[in-house]
Amino acid sequence: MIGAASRDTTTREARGLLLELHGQAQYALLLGSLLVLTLTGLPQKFDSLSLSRWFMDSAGGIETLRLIHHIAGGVLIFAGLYHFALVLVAILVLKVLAPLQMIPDARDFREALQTIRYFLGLQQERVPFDRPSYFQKLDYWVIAWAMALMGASGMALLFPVRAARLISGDVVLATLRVHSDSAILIVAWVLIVHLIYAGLSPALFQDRAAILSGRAHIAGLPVPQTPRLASDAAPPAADRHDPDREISGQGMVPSFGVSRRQEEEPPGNTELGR
Amino acid sequence: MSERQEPRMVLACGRTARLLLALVVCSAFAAALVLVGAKRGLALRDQPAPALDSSAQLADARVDPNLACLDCHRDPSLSMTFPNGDVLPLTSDIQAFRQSVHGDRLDCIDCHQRHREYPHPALEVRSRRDYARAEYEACKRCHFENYTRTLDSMHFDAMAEGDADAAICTDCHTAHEVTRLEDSPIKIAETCSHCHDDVYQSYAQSVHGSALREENPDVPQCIDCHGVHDIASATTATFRRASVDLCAECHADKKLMDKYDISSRVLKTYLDDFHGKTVGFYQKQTAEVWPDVAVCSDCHGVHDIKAVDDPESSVVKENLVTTCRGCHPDAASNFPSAWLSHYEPDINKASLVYLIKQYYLVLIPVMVAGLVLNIVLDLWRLARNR
Repeated sequence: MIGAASRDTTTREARGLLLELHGQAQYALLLGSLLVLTLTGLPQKFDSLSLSRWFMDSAGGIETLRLIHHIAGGVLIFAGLYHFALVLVAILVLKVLAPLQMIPDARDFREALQTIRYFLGLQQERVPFDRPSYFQKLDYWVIAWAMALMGASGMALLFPVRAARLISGDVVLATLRVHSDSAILIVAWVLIVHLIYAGLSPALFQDRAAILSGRAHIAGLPVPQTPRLASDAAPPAADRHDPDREISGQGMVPSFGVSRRQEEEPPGNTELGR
Repeated sequence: MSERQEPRMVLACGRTARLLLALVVCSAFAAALVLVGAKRGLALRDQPAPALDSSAQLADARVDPNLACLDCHRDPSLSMTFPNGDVLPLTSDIQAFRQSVHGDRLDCIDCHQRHREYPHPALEVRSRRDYARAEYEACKRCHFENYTRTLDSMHFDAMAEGDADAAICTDCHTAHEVTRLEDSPIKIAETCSHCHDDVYQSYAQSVHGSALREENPDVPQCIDCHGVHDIASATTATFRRASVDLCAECHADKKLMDKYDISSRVLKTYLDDFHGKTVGFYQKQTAEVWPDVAVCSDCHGVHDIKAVDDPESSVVKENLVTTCRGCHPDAASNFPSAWLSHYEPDINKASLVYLIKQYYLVLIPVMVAGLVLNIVLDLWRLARNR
């Protein structure tokens, strides 16, 4: 029995490692493409600014800027499809149900309400989260919505004739407005939530280094013995484990974004470079 | 003794009288010489440069210095033949010249300086056109600024590339019957038509050309779009990029457009839409790139622009999809609805675009404010709990 349990644990660890590596790859694609899309998209949106003109000229003109924008858009769409495929593989093949935790339920609304009460001083203690918080789910779905919307509207703008055939001319007409205004919304969201909020509110985003590493842990799985970069090898003890308000992982979306309540520090974590 | 003295006295008086008479005659002769000489000297100073050989000619030259030229060039049979066989009539219509803008300012030799001498020096040109090209630079002696502008024109470029027929000053203004073209806008278009007849015929049928023929001063004629002396090529990326603003000079002029019940917001609505947005990028960047996106003339036509309610207009609803297919060959019949047709979205026109715009106008500030409030409250509670 002990041997069987050990084999089972090893298999699950291997799966966890595999999924985490895929998650990090997705995160790298998303972060990179979002950054490029923002840098090449905002000068087009605010083209009257001298900074935009300078950037456009520096990039080699609008043709080059748009080419880079389109390539980055392709990478973003690929990252989205990659994530979707991985979710399907995790659920259907690997039988890992953790991704399903990102589906909002009634408890999330209750926790959101409790958090608002806490913010307003009507409740003394913050809601303890032992799973993806309502805010992490919101973040996940905002980014998922953004990827789908920007990808679809971008494709419609790139291929307006085919889009008009498939949908309607009116919708193609509206996509420019959708693409342009949604971009502002998404950039504002990413800046505020992932840079400012994550930096200012350690209670919600404990693993600040996750914005660079893209690492996440899968709920229901033992924490995999992942080779870690030396730079993120030694998180502060306070960040590593807090049984009362533990939210391991982070709010980054392309990884599963799910967390696991760590009951104890997993033994035998190895660190690259040690 | 007294009888002998009287004849001596008579003799002395006679000698004195003769002497006085001689002096008077000499003085009169000298005075006459001085007067005649002075008069002749003045007459010579008034005389024009060419030597005249008769008193009649002298008198005529004082009236009109060109008359000496006209002695020959009045002859209707006077002409010259160039080595290539071209014949140039040399008969001058002095009356027509006098009615030109130069008539009371210039004489023949002011422009034809090399023909000041007679016999005229031999010409070293092979054709009538070569002669015109050799002579037209005389214009720059007075019109240096405009001549300099022509050096930047596509006509000069064509000439530099060996096109002997490229327009020179006298092709548009004529040589001897120069009139003020701005006094007659239709005459400008007709002047251009001498070389660009196909374009003129197209323009004459357009909404602008037909109005010009009705002497409407508000419509553009050739030089309003192409310039006057520094006429740039209309096939360059620079011209294409600037063509939008060219149309906007009139079509964004509210006062002028109100006169004809035409929207003056067409430039703004264009720049807010797909094509205009891209053209705006091209206009702002310094690199010279051909804007491969629709500008005004791609949809409305170039010289054959019709009124938007003209059944033959390329942008009238029935013809619009055909126009779209000029750039989008696979465009379906519903494709034109992907274009705002210069309308500004409102609840009645392009309501989907309008509603999306309003949605984001509310959503973006609400979301940002909500997130900032979230952060502030979170920090406030963290500080308070400590």
